Amino acid sequence: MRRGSPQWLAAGTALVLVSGCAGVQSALDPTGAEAARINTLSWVLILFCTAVFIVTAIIAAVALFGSERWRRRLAGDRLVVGAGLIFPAVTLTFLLAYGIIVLGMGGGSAGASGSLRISVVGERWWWRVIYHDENGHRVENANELRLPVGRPVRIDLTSADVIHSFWVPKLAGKLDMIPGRVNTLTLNVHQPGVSRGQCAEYCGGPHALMSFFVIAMPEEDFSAWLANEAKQAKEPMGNPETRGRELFLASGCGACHTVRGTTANGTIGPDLTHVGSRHSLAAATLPNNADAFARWIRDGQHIKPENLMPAYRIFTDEELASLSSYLAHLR
Amino acid sequence: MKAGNDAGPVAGAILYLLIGPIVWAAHLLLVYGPQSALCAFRITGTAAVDPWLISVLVAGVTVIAMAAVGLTLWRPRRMARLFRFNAASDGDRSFVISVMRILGVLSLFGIAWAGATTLLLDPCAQLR
Amino acid sequence: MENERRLDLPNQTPRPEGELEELERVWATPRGWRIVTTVNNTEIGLLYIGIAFLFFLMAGVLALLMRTQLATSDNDFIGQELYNQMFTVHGTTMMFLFAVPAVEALGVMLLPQMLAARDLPFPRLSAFAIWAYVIGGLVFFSTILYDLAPAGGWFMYPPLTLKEYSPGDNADFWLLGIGFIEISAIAGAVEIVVGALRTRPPGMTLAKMPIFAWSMLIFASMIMFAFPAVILATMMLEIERSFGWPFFTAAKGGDSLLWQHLFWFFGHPEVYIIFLPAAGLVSMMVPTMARTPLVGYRLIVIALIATGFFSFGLWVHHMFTTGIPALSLAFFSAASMAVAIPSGIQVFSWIATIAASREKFRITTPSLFILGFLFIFTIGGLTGVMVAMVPFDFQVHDTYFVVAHFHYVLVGGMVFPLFATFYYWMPMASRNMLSERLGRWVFWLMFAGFNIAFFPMHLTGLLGMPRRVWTYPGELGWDTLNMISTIGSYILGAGVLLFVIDLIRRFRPGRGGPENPWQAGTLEWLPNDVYSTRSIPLVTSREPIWDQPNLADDVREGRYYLPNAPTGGRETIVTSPIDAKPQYVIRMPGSAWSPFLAAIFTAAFFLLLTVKFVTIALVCGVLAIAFCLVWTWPLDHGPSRGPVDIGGGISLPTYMSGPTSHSWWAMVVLMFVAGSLYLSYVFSYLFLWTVSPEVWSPTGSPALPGLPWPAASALLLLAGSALIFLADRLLPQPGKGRVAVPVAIFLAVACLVGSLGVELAGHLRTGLAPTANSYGAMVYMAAALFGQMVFTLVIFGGYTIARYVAGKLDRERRVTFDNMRLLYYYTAAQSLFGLMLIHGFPRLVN
Repeated sequence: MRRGSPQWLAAGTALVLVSGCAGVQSALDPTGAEAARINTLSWVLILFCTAVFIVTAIIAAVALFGSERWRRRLAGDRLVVGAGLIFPAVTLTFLLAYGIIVLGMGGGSAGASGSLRISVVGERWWWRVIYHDENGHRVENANELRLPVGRPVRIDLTSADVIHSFWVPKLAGKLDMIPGRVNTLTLNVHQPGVSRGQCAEYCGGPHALMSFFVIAMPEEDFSAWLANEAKQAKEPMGNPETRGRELFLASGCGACHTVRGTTANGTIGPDLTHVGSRHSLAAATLPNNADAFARWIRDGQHIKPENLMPAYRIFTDEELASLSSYLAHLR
Repeated sequence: MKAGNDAGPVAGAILYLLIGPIVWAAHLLLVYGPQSALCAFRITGTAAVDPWLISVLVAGVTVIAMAAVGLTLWRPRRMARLFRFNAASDGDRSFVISVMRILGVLSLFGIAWAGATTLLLDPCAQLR
Repeated sequence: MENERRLDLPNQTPRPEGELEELERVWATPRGWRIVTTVNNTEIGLLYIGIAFLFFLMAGVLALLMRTQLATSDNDFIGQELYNQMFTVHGTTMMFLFAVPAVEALGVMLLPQMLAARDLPFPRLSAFAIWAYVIGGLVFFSTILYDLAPAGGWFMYPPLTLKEYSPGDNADFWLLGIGFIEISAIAGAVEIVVGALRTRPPGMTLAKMPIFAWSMLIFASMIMFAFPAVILATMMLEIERSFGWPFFTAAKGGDSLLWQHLFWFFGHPEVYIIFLPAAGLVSMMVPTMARTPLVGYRLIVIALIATGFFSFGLWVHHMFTTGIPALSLAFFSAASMAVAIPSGIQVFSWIATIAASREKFRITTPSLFILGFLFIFTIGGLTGVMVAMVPFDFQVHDTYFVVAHFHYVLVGGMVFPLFATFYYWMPMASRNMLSERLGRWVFWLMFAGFNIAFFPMHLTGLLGMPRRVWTYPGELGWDTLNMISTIGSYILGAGVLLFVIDLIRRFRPGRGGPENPWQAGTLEWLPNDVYSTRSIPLVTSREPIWDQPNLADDVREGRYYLPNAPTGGRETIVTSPIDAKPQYVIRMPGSAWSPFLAAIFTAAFFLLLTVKFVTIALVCGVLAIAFCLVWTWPLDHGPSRGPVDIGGGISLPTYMSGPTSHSWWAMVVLMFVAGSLYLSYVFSYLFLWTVSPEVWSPTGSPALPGLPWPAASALLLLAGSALIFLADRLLPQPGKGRVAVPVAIFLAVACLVGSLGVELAGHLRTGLAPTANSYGAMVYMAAALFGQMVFTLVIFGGYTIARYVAGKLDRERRVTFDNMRLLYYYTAAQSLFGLMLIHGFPRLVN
């Protein structure tokens, strides 16, 4: 957390009320440029409103319990015009100007062509993420966003079905993903680390289970990661993995999922080429390990009801283990 | 008390009372409507209007609206005649006039605030 | 001193023998099963508020269940699907079935009493609206019990609510059920506008009107302009779901943001529609408890009007995160700031009045609820300023911060004043007051519970918890805050439960409770009965009971106006809208089965349509219209009774036609509603064009029909209007007949049907299909709106002809004809404008 005037208060309040500091999705703990601007604005507003409330409460208390002399002072049009009309007119003018100035600081330099651009498409109930690098290459993955630290990145947001909203509180405010429209958000992350985002527009069914992690990395790590991400899937090495791949291809998984380098080239569901390297499974519903893959395949409809992947109960335990270890090894 | 009708037409009285808010509403319509339509045209390619023209349009409409409300605040009785507003007693008449004027003042704030934002922002950018 | 003669008062005592008995007989409440036929405002008003409160309790139970689910992370007490249905039904019920009906019910119950009017001007319309609401509302709510409830959120955003993503009838229950309850709200609004402007007591000029009457007048005017937008949106969404006209589908040139614009153009004013009447109630109670007139009456009137207006300029602030240009957002941010000022004015007026108290402000249960309201609402208002700041809203929009904010505004701004109202105005409905001792417990439980439940949510939201999630993971640190909120909600629930217990213990419907227990100054505290006050006072100040010492006695003894029932039926005085000069005496209809049956069949029509029982639905629709006609048939009674003496040397007619008539006023209000619906359509047409000009004619759709088509359609409209004008001139003297009149009306209606036919045929010939793209959908939607008016006029025209045939229409007895004529001219004007838009606009921009 940055040292700043009212920010110790944020930490304090959060600490008192919340056991431990769990801030991966907190707007009060910004690591991105927009979120930081808004955080300062938030604290100005919170302090202003608290002050106004306290003064109003004191005036009301005097009106109720004050001495005759004090009450007579308050009992007239003067209080109404002064406190109810002139005071808000003046203070709101300043607040509005401040808000508009902060609004005007949005957007930014990320629009420059040739630089990294990322498209995120809201799907029911996951995120399709497409990286367009400087050379015009297109790399698709899902349910996780990786960003280089220290430079603005342009994120194009749209939706494939219903309205979703892209929100990573530590980095920026939310922006809706609307079918037929493309909204552009600039993310400029200050420091490396993991933050969590979540769909903020109700999108039916398991809307509550549509989240993702954002991993901000130093520039060179990011380039290395993106280069790896652009590669085809790793060849299986051991036996369970090879068996897993056979099962994967034979059971029709490829109708919905792509694993680049194999015949699986479906585009309905998330691209699984490097699924094993992600922070989480099923849009941040499960941790990422072989066991979670198995649970998801067999019991997905219980873990994330109404999600669009049917539960596959056709596999034996052994087959499921092979399939899971194949998927987990796709790093 | 005698049976009878109002001293002036009802529609006139209502319009007179509401001059400020009506001008405020017209102002919002005339700045938001053209601004959002012209910006949409830039996306759909219907027409490419220079952004600064939009700013000028917003500022112009704002000045006119403020002048209109200002006029009614300055000359309330003349406006009353224009709208054929009249009331049964002096008390009722001055009540309506003062309500009209303070509503006008509030509307002036609304108009000025909305109009002033155009000085600080690019007219069509999403700014996110 | 009963028989003391007071020469300065309009009527002399003693009153004639049997006069009071006659008044009681005329206004008597039907007994037994026939109670459902009652139309009197105090009785149906009680039903109205009772059912609204029932919905509050039921939606509150849903809230407690949801809070239980959210008490801990990864909880599975309620499953996902049920939870999604629950928050949809909770929000929908609280907004549409509780809040708006509750304040409208208070209008129905209290407004006539405050104006010392015997009833609202259209009692059967009130009864119809209320029964329709009761039946429709109960059926809608019950869908949660058998998994049929909508799950699209109370805001029902498409595309989620389109057939593709919400198959099943669940969403249709929302669209048809709520759509039709909105119509019932509009019926109530017509009643309240005309009631507040035309049935005030003599002498109560605008400047002397009780604040509650001002707030109800503004409330009803806001409904007139806000509800049509959502009605149009509802119609379009239902049409898209049923017939595939793509208003909201981006792939075919529609836009889901259109729904958001229309919904919030209604939805934002809705918040103030709920708040303003409650603020009006507070402005009535504070002076009583302070024993002094309201400080800043004039400023409060200004604040109410300003809020009413500004609230229509805020709708985009629900769309700050949709990515529309920043400058557009800034306009609405500015308007959101502007609306804060009137609220500030009201809060400080109340505080100033409290300070002005004679002795000290009396701390009673209503006072506690008012102070609680001030506390909570002030916080809600301040967080409202926060969310009006666009960048701040980027973070907190659709999070628990906003949940906290609007519960502070709505529970603080409406529920607390409502409970104050229950305690304060209880004598209007019950023989017993509620317990002051328990009342304090109720208040403190509710106040503490509310703040414990909702204050932590501000922080929960800032820590990143979005709304409308049925579960959340444990590692995000939201558990403690959620548990506190859940505990608070149960404390709040305990307070409400205690209130219900007290209600069961003490509430006894009927008259004869304490008279003016709080020593208030306004007219509803005059001695009254089902017929309202015995005589209708002459008002000379804002607090007549305080300023006219003998008023209660003089009114009870019948020394004021209209102490009797001179026409032998129900009646009240109509006064001029501004100066409140007596103009005529309305003869009002009494109890009847027809409004009740019409409501049942209207509800059946909509609900059966929802579950696709089309044939039975249509039968019910026909029956509904039939019973409406049965109910209106005796209303246009004509001038047969001649003038009556109301006292003070004033002799008033008992029949009025033309612009002075209350019926004409209602028609004008209705035309505003229709106009507002139509303007919403025009907005939608232009909006979709700016978004998707590529599907517009002639590039993306077939070329428009040639100009002779719209010209023929327009000519038919003009010819029809000329025929109506002619029929007006030809109306015969009483007792005479003139066949040209029904013929002209018939031909005029035929012209209208012909005009619609020509318009439709023209577009069909070009091969334009409503399902092709949003342009086609919009063109046929214009025809559908036109068709809706034509349908109404076919029935209205036929009804007018029937009245002529029955000998009930002539030059004097002509209210029915006048109303039909107004609607006809309006329809012709709207349709001519529509022709210009549909046929002119694409040619103009091409």
